[in-house]
Order: sequence, then C-alpha cells, then structure tokens
Amino acid sequence: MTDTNYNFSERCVKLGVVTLLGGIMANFIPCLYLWIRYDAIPPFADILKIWGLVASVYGISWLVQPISFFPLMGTAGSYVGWLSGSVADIKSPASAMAHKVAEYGDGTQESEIVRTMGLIVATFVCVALTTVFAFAGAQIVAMLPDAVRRAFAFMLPAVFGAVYADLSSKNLRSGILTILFAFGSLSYVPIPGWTQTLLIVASGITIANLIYEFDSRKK
Amino acid sequence: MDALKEIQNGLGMWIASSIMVLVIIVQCTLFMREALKGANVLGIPRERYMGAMRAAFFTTIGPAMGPAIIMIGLVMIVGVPTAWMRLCDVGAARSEMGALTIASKVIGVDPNSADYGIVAYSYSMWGMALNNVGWMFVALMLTHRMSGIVTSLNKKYSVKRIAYCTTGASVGLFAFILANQIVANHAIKKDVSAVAAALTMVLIKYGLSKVKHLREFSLGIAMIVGMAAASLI
Repeated sequence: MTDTNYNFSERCVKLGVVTLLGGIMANFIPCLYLWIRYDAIPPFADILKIWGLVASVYGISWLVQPISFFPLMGTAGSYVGWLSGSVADIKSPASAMAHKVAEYGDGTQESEIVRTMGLIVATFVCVALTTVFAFAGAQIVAMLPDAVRRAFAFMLPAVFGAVYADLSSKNLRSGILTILFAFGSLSYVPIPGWTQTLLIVASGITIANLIYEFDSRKK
Repeated sequence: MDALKEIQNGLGMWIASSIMVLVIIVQCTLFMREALKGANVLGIPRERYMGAMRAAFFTTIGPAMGPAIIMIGLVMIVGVPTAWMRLCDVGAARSEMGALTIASKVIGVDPNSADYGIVAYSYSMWGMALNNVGWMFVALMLTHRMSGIVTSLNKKYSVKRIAYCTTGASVGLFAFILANQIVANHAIKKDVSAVAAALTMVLIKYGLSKVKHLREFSLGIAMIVGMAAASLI
C-alpha cells in the first residue's frame, strides 16, 4: 500500500493554481455584471486610483501574510486559506488543532494531510454559517422597524470607531498620533480626498516605523 | 435608493456572486479528495484523521459566528449577495468595510449617505475586488516556491518591523475613515456613535476579557451599542 513517491504538496500545487485562478476570475464577475447589465463601471483612471488606495493600505499584507503564515499553513493550506480567508483568526487555529489531535510530527506529510483536512472542515463551516447568516440577515433587514433602520445611518462611524480602538490598543502611541495627524490633515490640508487617504496611510506607516526605531534604540 | 436595493439583491447579482462561493466549495472538495487519497497511501488510520477533523470543526464553530451581526450592516450597504460572497471569500468584514468606503470616497460619496447610488456602489465593488485579488494573486505566484522565500526573508528583514508596518498601514486607513466621518459630517450623533463603539470595544477587550467567545462578537456588539447611543441622544 505504501508508495514512497507520493508527494502530497506537489500534487496540491496543480489543484491550487487552477482553483486560485478560478477564484481570481470569480472575484471580478459581480463588477463585470454591473458593467455589462447596468453600464456602471468607474472610468479606468478611477479604477487605478482605487487600486492605488487599497494597495497602499493592504499591499504589505498581501505580500507578508501569505509568506508569514506559510510555515503554519503549508502548501495545500496556503491555496485553500488565501481563497477563503480568515487565516489568522479561524483557519490557522483549526489547522493547528487538527495537527495537535492527530499527533503526527512537525513537517511530516501525515501532519500536512490532517492539517489540510482540518482547514477544509473549517472552510465548510464558515461558508455554511455565512450562508445561513446571509439569508437570516436578509429576513432581519426586511423586518426592521423604521427607527432601527434609521439607526444604520450611524453604523459606519460605530464600526470604524470600534476597529480603530481595537487597532490602537495594540500600540496606543501610534493610534493617538495617527488620528491626530488625520484630523489635522483633513481640517487644514486642502488636497483631494483620495490623496488625503494616501497621505494619512503613509503617516500611519511612518509613525509606526518611528516608534519602532525609538523602542529598539531604547533597549 | 430603492432602485439600488433592487439591483443589489436581484437574481443577476445572486448568480454573479455565487460563482466565487462555488469555486471555494469545488476547491475544498478537490483538496479533500486528494487528502483522503494521501491518507490512504500513507496509511493514516481513519479514526486519527476523523478525530482531527472533529477537533477542527469544534474550534471553528465559535469564531465563525463572529461576522453574524456585522453581516447585517454590510447587507444594508451592498445588499445580500455581495455581503454573502465577500464574507465567504478572503477579505474579513472590517477590511471589506474599509475597502468599500475608501473606494466610494474616490468620488466623494459616503456609503451611509443618500447619495450612495449605483455609481458609488460600482466603485465599492471594485474596491473590494481589487483588495481581495491581492492575497489570491500573491498566493498564486509564491506558494509553490514559498519554503525558500520564507528563509531568505527572515534573514533580510526584521519580523517585528514588518508587523509594525502592516499595523501602521491599517491604523492609517481607519484613522482617515474615522476622522473623515467626524470632520466632514459635523454631526454630533456620528461622533457619539464612534466614541460609544470604541469604548465598548475597549471594555470587551480588557474589562470582559475572561468571558469566553465574547471577543468574537465584539465588533458586532460595539456596532449595535454605537448605533443605539447615537439614536438615543
């Protein structure tokens, strides 16, 4: 029964490449649908602007996260994880748990296989629950009384306030300095909105770097 | 406003959005088949991998409920099919909210305002798509030669500095969006909403840190507290 030539990772590369390519195409289908059916598409220059903005914010994460989670996720896990997401908070714990329970040594093929199985189970759970929430959410939205519906006008400030508090608690100094810079820049620097975004994101990165320098010099 | 809702929740948008979910399911099925084949070839006993999968299942249930509340918020802005697709695929709820907001801000429209029509919606859709493709593209290009990359990068760069930079970039983005919500609108209710939600988040993170699984819902709970506080004053 044992086939010494069997290489799980290698066999997953082909599957991974094909399915990720499928994911990349599927990712744009709703945008293309809006364009074809309703003629709603940003001009090309604006698409570039949008890309520049999201790249300035998440570009480092695009590159760094798949690399830094690779030792934990393995080849198969990386292909599955970076299509369906939630790698840090859901997928990598599930994979680690599967590894722990199955008790195969680190770096063995057996370990990678049970990790991948754990990860796939986690992905199915996420997709199933998200689907339930989507349908339930639609029902709930339809039933909401007008007063509650009006309250959703204040949703985004609440979400962003909460996210900001969460991010700042990782590094309070960078949180305070960056928000002060953002208020100052928005109030006194008369430049168009999207360059404002770039400027403030750059200030966030610069401030974090300065704090890093400051902290490492102190030691 | 209602015309937009009809487009967002129409059959066409459901079909366009379901393709991504389908790709995810197909991918998982193919990888599971390969993993079962591998388990067979390498002689992994059934009870061992079944135990691993059971453990993964129970680890996931709690955290996977997290986006339940925030989903309603996302549904109010982009409609049901898009919220469903985007929470199934790579972006987390908060990065989707960030991406859709900065994208519609390119034409100066706030996703929470009455001006948010099909044009701004198409900007948001591109924002989310261009953001999510980043991770997929990098995974596509690098995964098969990753082992070498990890070793060489760890030699060249300080892991800690990179962590500071990625957090700094997110802090910058949300500082912009948050300050913009407050400076541009001059609406006291929005300020109250932001502050109340921020305080709730801090309270859950530090004050109630012992309550198990509460953190997974913290963003949703903070959202509700913020909205309630703004409506009540």
